[in-house]
Amino acid sequence: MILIISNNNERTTNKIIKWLLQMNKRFIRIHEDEIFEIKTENKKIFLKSDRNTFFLDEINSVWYRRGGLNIKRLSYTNPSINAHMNEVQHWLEDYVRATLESKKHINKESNSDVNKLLVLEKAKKVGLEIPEYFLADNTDLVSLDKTIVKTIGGNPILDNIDEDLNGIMYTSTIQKREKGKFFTTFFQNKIDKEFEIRVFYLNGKCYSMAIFSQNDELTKTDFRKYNLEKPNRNIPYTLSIDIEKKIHLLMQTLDLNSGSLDFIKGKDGTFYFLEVNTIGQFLGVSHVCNYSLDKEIANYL
Amino acid sequence: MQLFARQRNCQLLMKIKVKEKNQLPLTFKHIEPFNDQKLKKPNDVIYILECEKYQTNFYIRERPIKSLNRLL
Repeated sequence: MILIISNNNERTTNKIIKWLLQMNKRFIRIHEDEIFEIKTENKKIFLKSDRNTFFLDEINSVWYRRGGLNIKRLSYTNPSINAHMNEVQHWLEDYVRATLESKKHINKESNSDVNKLLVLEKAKKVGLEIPEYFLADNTDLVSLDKTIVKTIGGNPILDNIDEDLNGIMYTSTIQKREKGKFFTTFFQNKIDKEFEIRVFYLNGKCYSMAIFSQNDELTKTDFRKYNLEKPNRNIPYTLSIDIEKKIHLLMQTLDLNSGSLDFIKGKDGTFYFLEVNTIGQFLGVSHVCNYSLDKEIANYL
Repeated sequence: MQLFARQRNCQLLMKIKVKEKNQLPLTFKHIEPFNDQKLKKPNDVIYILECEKYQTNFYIRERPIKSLNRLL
């Protein structure tokens, strides 16, 4: 039995399920708003929610996509008992989570959020080239038009930031100095790019796509500012064995067996690593390059 | 790529102005809006279904993408 931890409204999950159905593989999909209780029957642990019930030992593989496994925790009126029971419940939950994560899996809930700053340091250590970066609360040392800013958070989207309006923080070039100070911000050298590369990594294998975003003013700094009238040209791409080995090393260091990595090929011929998204979208790469990643994932599970 | 599905609404050039007492990172000066309300236009309506087979309340009825290998 395959355990899929995802959101109720998540399209990529549906695509993988389509393959699982085709392959006659049994699965349980759990949602972000589902709350489980840990119970036992005949000396065996099982998890129960309003929608699902499954024994821990019947799960053979786990795909962590989005959301999380929520486990109900009881509280007690006596503070001393409450503290003790909190610990008891913690260890029971910990056992369940650790057991599930020790099974064959694609991504894990426990390390699905990565720290962009630590990832850059680790990428440097494994020998990947990265554009110079620094943190600052002013623009005094910023080279104008040669520096970009981007968020160090995982999600650049701010839902409902204004009435009926969502906001998005694209990677942007700094064109003028700020007079005052601001909250510590991530700055990085802007690379004159030949093209961008999106890599989907799965268990040691890299599936890459080149994105020719440099000739379009809209997509020049951030290709996610898609030009829908005239989309960027995207083609399958093969990275050098040396870079693929370094990617593999980086992913092992981060304890990730799947993820999407962003690279830029600079006009200087260097391949610069930008960041890794553990739960990013990969179906675009799959469709454009005919990689059938949805099938690969279903096959592995 | 994370934004693939939502991107269609995102061609506005105006900036969002944020007022907060505490300092914010410089990225907030470059925040751009995209208005999901546009999805409500009749042509953009997405039909979703509750689907037991896929264990979701948000199954989207869509025409399957024809893979390249099927065209060869």
